[in-house]
Amino acid sequence: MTPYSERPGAPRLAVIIPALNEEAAVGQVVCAVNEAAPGVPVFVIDDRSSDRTAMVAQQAGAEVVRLPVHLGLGGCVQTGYKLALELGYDYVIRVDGDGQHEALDVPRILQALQSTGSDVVIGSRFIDGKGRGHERQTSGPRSIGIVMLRHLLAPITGSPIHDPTSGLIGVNRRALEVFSREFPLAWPEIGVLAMLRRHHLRFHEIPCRMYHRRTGKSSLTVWKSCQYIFHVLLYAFVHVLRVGSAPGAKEVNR
Amino acid sequence: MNVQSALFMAGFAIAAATLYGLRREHIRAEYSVSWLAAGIILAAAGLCPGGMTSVSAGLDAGFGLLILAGTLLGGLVFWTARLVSRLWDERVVLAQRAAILEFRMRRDNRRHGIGG
Repeated sequence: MTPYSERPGAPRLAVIIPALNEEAAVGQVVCAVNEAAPGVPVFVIDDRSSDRTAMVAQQAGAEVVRLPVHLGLGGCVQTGYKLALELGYDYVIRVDGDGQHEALDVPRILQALQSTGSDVVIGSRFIDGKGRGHERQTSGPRSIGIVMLRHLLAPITGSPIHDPTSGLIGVNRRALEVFSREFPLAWPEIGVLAMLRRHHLRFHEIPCRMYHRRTGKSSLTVWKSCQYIFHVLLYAFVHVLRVGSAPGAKEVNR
Repeated sequence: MNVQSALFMAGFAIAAATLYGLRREHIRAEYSVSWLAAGIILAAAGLCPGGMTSVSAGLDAGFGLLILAGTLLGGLVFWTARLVSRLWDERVVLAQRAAILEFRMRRDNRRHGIGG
């Protein structure tokens, strides 16, 4: 297969993988992305892992950015966006380092970014090929939570979003510029959704597969789910409050 | 102006300042919740004479002064919280800048065959 970077007129695409203590899975994730999208640079942003995440990622062929202090998921992802913007990439796709995402979806997300003209493309577990919603890949209580989130987020995003917690997200240069300037540090997935409309960013969802974690345990507990709902409500409130104010009036996160 | 009015106004001012800070992005959404709650509780306490009377009964005559001092202290802490918000943001920006610079230096060194 001809590497992406060598194809005529190929867009400048980079994959970023935020990682914290993912030594057991990150190597396979990097290899899978390299196979699915040959020639596309993979940047692993290591959020001060205490294990061999950085070394394993490097051995698998990724370029590793090591944060000097632990910043959390939001700070970690934004570092990747900032780096990609500095290096002149046109498209960036974020893939989680725990092996839950299907690497073959990376080229599909790029294709969706280009063909739909959307600024943000979200890989959704909960839509089928025709864009209809379903909750086949998750448990009962979680399905209820997701349906709730969907309804809470719809007024913020302007249209329903089927998988508000997806970490498989592709952005174009316009969104990259916005997210490099301003990005939520806590609960970045919902924070980003709250930002989309305010910054007039168009989003699109495509169906994607998602697997169970290869290693470790999910950090999502009942308490965290409650926090999650609370943060959705908070971001909804902030969104209403900021409607009409100039976006980026103050660049909090340059 | 009696103590209850002062308390209500202090609570209202804290809530208003928090909302303004949120709108202008001077304070992060995550940090604003406790301030909003504090402002609302203070304003509610100011509006509820029965509650205030029972609280003041258990305290000394200098209750008004205590409220005033508490309000001033609250304002100071609020100002500090805003400062901490800004410092936290700057810490994140600096850490990201350092990581990117270190990455680019390592990459350049590798390209030019310098170091490991």
